[in-house]
Amino acid sequence: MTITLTSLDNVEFKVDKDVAERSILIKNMIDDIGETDAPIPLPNVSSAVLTKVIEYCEHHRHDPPQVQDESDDPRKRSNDIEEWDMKFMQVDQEMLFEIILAANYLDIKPLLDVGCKTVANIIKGKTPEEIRKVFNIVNDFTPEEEAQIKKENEWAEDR
Amino acid sequence: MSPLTTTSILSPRSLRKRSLPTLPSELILHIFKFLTTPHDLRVAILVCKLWCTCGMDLLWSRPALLSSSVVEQITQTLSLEPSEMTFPYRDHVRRLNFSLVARDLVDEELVRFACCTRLERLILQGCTQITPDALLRILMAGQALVSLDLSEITTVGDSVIEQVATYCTKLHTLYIASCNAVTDSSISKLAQSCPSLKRV
Repeated sequence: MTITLTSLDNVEFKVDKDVAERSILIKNMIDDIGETDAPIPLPNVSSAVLTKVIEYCEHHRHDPPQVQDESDDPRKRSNDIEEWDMKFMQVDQEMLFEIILAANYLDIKPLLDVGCKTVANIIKGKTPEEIRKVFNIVNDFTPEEEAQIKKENEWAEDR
Repeated sequence: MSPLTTTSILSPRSLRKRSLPTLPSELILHIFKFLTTPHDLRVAILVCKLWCTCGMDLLWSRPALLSSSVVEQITQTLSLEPSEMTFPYRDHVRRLNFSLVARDLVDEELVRFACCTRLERLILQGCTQITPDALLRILMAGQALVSLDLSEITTVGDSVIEQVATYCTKLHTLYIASCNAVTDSSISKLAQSCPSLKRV
């Protein structure tokens, strides 16, 4: 069956149920209200972003459900993005962050992870100044604060 | 306001552009979980205050004790007066694994970690230079310890295990392989005072 989703800017998207249910938010909604023809409003997602998210969900519609990460190590690898996902994530920064926010809101864990890995890979190997430049971030430390934090965390420099 | 800030606020380009700081901190933290080396995390916390707050716990909760010089630098930071520290680093430390520096670790270095009262896991396997006196200092601060590995420290005997029983009442797991001086008497005391104990 098909599900209708309505974006923030009131564009309707008709998608197969198994594609829509890649989103745990939508899956729970359908489980709660039962199958319905009424469109599901997604007031936090624009049509441009929803188009991308649906593209992802369609490509991954047959993926097995994600196994919970057993290891209690909070640190995770970011060099294991599959090729299709890598290409899918080649978007401008604004879209990249919109996708991460939408994946978080719609509760699509694999998409959230791929988005965050992509950002992590941009950060890796750069200096703080290079990172600020790439992401347009203002350095709000005073020179004293910056020097102090640098010194207190000197140990992490040892690779 | 500095000219730099004024420009970036007024520039229409930056207004249009959604940059990382607008992600909520839980998503910034999620991104940081994919930064696998302490080096990259350290760089990230130096970017701005928000990133710094987000990454601090990840960096300090289980510091990678790769070499004696890392241990030395960490203890220098931990030894600062709390009022001089930018962050309460001591409270972030929850896991310490000394196995990579085991042969070189001496009492004076170990006792400087006694300020980490939220420590949950401590691995001292093979730290053969450590004496019961230094262990006592650490155990007295070990009220949060759930896992303790004292394997191969041959000076560990009943008195140390009794101190574990006294101070570390939340303990789940204790490793004492090759601690041949430990007898049943201290182990039974341990069993009595640590209700969560699952494995010895």
